[in-house]
Formats: sequence, structure tokens, C-alpha cells
Amino acid sequence: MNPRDDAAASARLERSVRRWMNAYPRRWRVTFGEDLVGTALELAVPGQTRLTLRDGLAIVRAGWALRRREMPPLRVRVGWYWDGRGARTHPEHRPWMVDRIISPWTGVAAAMGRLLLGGWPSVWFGLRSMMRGDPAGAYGFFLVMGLLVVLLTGLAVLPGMRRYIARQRWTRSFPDEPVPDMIASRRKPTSA
Amino acid sequence: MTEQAYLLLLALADGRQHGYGLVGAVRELSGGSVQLGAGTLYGNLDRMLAAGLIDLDGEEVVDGRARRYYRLTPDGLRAVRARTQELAALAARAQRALDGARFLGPEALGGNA
Repeated sequence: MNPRDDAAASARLERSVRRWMNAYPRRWRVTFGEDLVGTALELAVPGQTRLTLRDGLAIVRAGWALRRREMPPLRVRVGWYWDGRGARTHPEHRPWMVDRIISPWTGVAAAMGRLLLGGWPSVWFGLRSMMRGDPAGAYGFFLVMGLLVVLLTGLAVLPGMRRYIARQRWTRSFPDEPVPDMIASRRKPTSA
Repeated sequence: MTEQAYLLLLALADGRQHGYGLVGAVRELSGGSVQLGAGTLYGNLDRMLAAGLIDLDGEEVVDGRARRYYRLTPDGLRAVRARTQELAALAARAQRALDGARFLGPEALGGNA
């Protein structure tokens, strides 16, 4: 195999490893990801372009096991989601909190949470309409809720909005600590 | 402690090591019977880091990629010594049991005579 083919195979294998590695939280991937990728590439046989299913599943198992080990009890999770509580009183759960903040799904989760909290009057209206045999009212409810889900989710996955929500959570949870680069604002500072 | 974790701790008893080096050391220590893949290796390293049995010991950049080193902690050394003593005691008991088996005769050992 010539060096060019070898480099192409190595690049494909690296992409394969990174896909499997998504099972790990982003914080772990930032800290140990390059190490794992490097080791997987060194262990590969010449010309290997993808991780074997067995090795891939081993990475998934390890990633999910780590997530499970680091997950705090329900009351800590609820308190933290509600108002960032627990970040100081439960420092042992800091890795989980950091993972939640920098996760790409943070924005979507926040949007869904607000929708669930704020959507109760609409749910009540929709259910009442259904029980009273008013299909138009119920359809209206489902239409409005559907549009809200699409709108809020769409907004929340925009990179700028996602980072904004993550920054809000970070400053609420860790007010004395600087915001990490990966969720910092990309807006260029205006020159005086 | 699993066999893989024990072998990893033993591999680190020699000094700090990186991921690829650990895979080779474990293969050598196990006589080739334990072949760790990247997923199994890092799953074990995660657990041992969380348990305080090993720690990070710096990194170096190889081919533009950060390669981390791991080392044994005092707790890790204690754990691997304790496990080794347990295994040695088990091996001694096993040997005594096998010594007793000599008196059973060749039929018990699978002989036809």
C-alpha cells in the first residue's frame, strides 16, 4: 500500500473511531478523545478503514457506562435543571453538570423544558376541547403545540442560540468561573 | 477487580505508560491471551481513574495528537499487591489440592489403564 492510500485509510478509520466515540460525553472527548483516537489508529492493521463492530461496541459500552456512573440522583438533576442549584453543594456531580451545559442538545432540552412548563394552559385547553367534543379546538391545540415545538427546537439548535443558552447555564451554575471557549460568544469585539 | 484491570495495574507497576504501550504490556503479561481494544482499554482506564487507582502523568504530542500517560497511585499499588497475594494464596491452595489428586489413580486423570 502506498503512503497516499495509507493516509486515506487512516483518515477514514479516524472518522469511524470518532463516530463511535460520540457515545462518550463531549467533556470526555475533549480531554481524552485524541488519546483514544491515537491508540485506536496505532492498534489498527495496515489498510483498516473502519473500527470492527466489536471494538466499536466496546467504545459505546464504555461511554454509556461512564455517563451512567456520573449521573446524579434525580433530586439533584431536577434542582440543577430548575435553577442551577446543586452546582456548589454537589461538587462531586460537576462532570455531569458540565456535560449537560456543553452538550449540543442543551438548547433543545432547554426549549422542550420551557415548552412543557409553559404549555400546560394549552394542554388543558386542548384536552377540554376534546372532552367536550370540539375537534376544531383540539386540532387547533395540536397545531399550535406542533408549531411551537418546531419553532423552539429550530431556534435552539442554531449555533449562536445554543451557545447563548449554554453560557446562561454556565454563569448560573458556576458564577465565579470564566466561560469555556467552546461556548463563548463568537461575536467579534467592536473596536472603539 | 477484573482480570483486565489487574493486568493494567500490573503493567503500570513498571512505570508510567501510554494507551498503546499498555495494550502491548497487557498482551505480554497475559502471555497473549488478553488483547485489549481501544474501547475496552479506555473503559477500564475510566473506571480506574474514577476509583483513584491510577492518575494522569503528563502528555506528549505525537503526530499532532496528544498522547496521555498514566501512572499508578499509592492506592493502585496497594490494590494490585493485595490482589497478587490473593492469587498467590489461591495458587498455593490449588497446588495442594492437585497434590492430593495424585493418589486417585490414573482413571481419575483420564487414563485407560
